[in-house]
Amino acid sequence: MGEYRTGVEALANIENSAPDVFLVDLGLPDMPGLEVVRHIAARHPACDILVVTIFGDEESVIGALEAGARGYLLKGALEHDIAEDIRHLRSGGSPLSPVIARQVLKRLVPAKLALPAEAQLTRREAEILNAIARGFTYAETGNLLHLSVQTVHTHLKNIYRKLAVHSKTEAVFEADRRRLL
Amino acid sequence: MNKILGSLLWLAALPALAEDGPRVQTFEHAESPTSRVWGFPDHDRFQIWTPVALPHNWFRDPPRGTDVWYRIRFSLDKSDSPVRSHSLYLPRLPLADLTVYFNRQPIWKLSERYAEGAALTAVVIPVPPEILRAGENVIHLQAKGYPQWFHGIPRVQFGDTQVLSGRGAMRELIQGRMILMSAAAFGALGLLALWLWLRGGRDPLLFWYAVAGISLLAATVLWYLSLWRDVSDLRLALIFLRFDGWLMPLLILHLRLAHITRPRLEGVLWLGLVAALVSIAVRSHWQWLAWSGWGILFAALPALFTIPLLRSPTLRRQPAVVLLLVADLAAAAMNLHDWALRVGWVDFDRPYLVYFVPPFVMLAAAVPIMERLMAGVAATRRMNVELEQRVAAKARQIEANHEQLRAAQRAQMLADERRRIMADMHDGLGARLLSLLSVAQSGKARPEELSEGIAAALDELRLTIDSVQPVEGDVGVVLGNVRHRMRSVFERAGIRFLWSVSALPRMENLTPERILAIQRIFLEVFSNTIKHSGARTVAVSAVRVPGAVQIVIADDGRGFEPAAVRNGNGLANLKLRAAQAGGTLLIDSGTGRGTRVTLLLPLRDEEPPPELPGTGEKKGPYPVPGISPEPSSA
Repeated sequence: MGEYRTGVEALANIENSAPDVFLVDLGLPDMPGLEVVRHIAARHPACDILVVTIFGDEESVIGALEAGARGYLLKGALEHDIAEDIRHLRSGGSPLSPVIARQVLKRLVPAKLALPAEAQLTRREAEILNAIARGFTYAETGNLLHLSVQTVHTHLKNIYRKLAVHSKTEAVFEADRRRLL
Repeated sequence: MNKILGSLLWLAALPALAEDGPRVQTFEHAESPTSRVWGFPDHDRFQIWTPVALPHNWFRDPPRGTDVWYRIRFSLDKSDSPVRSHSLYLPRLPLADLTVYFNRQPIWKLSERYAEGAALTAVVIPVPPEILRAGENVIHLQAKGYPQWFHGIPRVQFGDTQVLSGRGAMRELIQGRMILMSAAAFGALGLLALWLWLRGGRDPLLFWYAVAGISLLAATVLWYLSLWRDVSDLRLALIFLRFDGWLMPLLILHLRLAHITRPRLEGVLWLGLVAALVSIAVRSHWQWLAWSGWGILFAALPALFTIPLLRSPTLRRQPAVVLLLVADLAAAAMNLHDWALRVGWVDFDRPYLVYFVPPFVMLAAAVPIMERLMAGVAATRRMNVELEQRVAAKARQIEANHEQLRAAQRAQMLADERRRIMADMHDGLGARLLSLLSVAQSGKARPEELSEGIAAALDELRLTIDSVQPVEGDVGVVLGNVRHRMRSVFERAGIRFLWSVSALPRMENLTPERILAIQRIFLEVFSNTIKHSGARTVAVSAVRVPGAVQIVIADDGRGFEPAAVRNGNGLANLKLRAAQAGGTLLIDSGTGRGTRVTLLLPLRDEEPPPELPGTGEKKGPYPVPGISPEPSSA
């Protein structure tokens, strides 16, 4: 267990520690938190990254998920909740708010750009996101779709991965559009 | 040019000058009686016959009287001839009447053919084989006509019926059918021009073209009528009209083409035409002179056409006008040829070239008209394109204005939203922080009290931020979000959720303001449930009902008597928030029955809020799915 005050410090030390869970604030003093998330997600795919935000608003959370985070924590939450969220995270995915689920769905479903196969949602994944967007918990979603909670978590992990792939594709697409490539 | 004209003339004269083979003989000489004939002239043995050259043009060489006899004697070696059937052929019939006798037997009479309705310009007369003799044969022609009408006798041909029929058919085609066909074609063209003129433009060129074409057709019809109706003196005028009358509108067409409008000159020309017709129609000693005088004047008329065109330096360089000039000169040449033919300066048996004049001039005159019409069409098209471009530019401008307007509206909406959030923060968060501050300043505050207050302030802030999160009109997401926020609170209180939010229709009117109001209703109801009801289960359902979304929050707590609530502020507040959310709210509760809050949100604003179903009539405990109906106490 380590604690670092700046992004540079964290990136310098994480090579040796190889943690299971990494919590990062989006508002770091030296560099954008999303950069740190991106570096760690690229170098330590096994590490579960949680970003810490004040509001859990759509913009920062989606950005973090696209950078490779697996969930988020609200600042000021009770310690009990943080522990609960980390447990959730280890078992598959931290709670996804309906607003975020809705936005993930919106990003991965439309045909505005031809999504590569590895970024396309399966029907099951879309159903899961739809249920979460309407306020159902993972357990309820599992019941609704006749799935185990564990399966729901596995699907969510895949969804996170697809979101990251999608964001990369979109970056390429955007660069192509601007004739940077 | 001369070469072309020469070969054309040669072509036209071809049938008359066709070489005679052994099957056909052409008689260039005949005999005519010197004294007056009473009855059949050969019966008078004292009659003296003098030689006459054929063709015999009566205008140039007038005979005495209107009844003239001709005799042609020839010998036929019948045994040697391969010809089976013999005929006589006369290439022209410029006569009032003609009776043909073969070996003193009458075999054909022109007036009888006219009476049968035939319009003849050339004739092939079969000779009955039984009257044909080997050796000496004799033909008598009894002709009736008038010298001043350009009557006369053509060369007579005798021989194989097959050969002569071919010649006759060719001649008939040129002299008869071609006139009719070209007159019909140009009459139709004239009618087309008239229709175009009536439909639009009122172009003078079209009008005069129409007049020329139609008068050509009318003159031809009149002339044909004159062939088999005895219209005596009028016939000469009709022939004049037929040959030259239709040229007048063409002359005016030429003037219009050169942009010349001189009513006085045109009046004089029309008067000239009328004077010519009158002087030709009225029988007088000078009738033939009038005919030939006017004839040569009008024959030369197409040559005059060229003057206005040649005087304009721009016109004479246009290919269409040059073509018309050539046609005019050719027409004048042909007219003069015909005039010369009538007065006897050209071989009498040659066909009239007048049949070639209308196609030449009318077609050539059509070219500049077409050119002008095409120019008009092109100009219209250009104007249309320009107009379309202007309309498109205008549309773009309007679109840009709209875009500006929309941008302004968006900016206005953003400003409104910012103001609303500011006001909200002032009343909610600001008030909470101020009260916290005063508590903190009093120095009597307990740390738990302070942290609770700060947490509440943070919640308030999160609530405001949640209200501006994108939900795309899905009220289900709003409900889900509230639940998500309250998750840990409910878990700690040990209250179970029965969540049944179905897929809901999109609500266009779901503004952040309304979202905030809905969130507040939920927070209020949930916090009451947690604090006061002692419920173990909360059932939330959201379903679509006609025109609205119905949201029900029911708990299995101890309930309350709405009438007995001392401080009704909480309930009134809920109703106020429901109104802010654009909907209606109903609270139904009773001691031991749990509480049921129904929120009805219309899908569209214009629809009046629908009636709440079953208002206050149900008295039993609300059936909360999955939990026992009896009221439970915490």
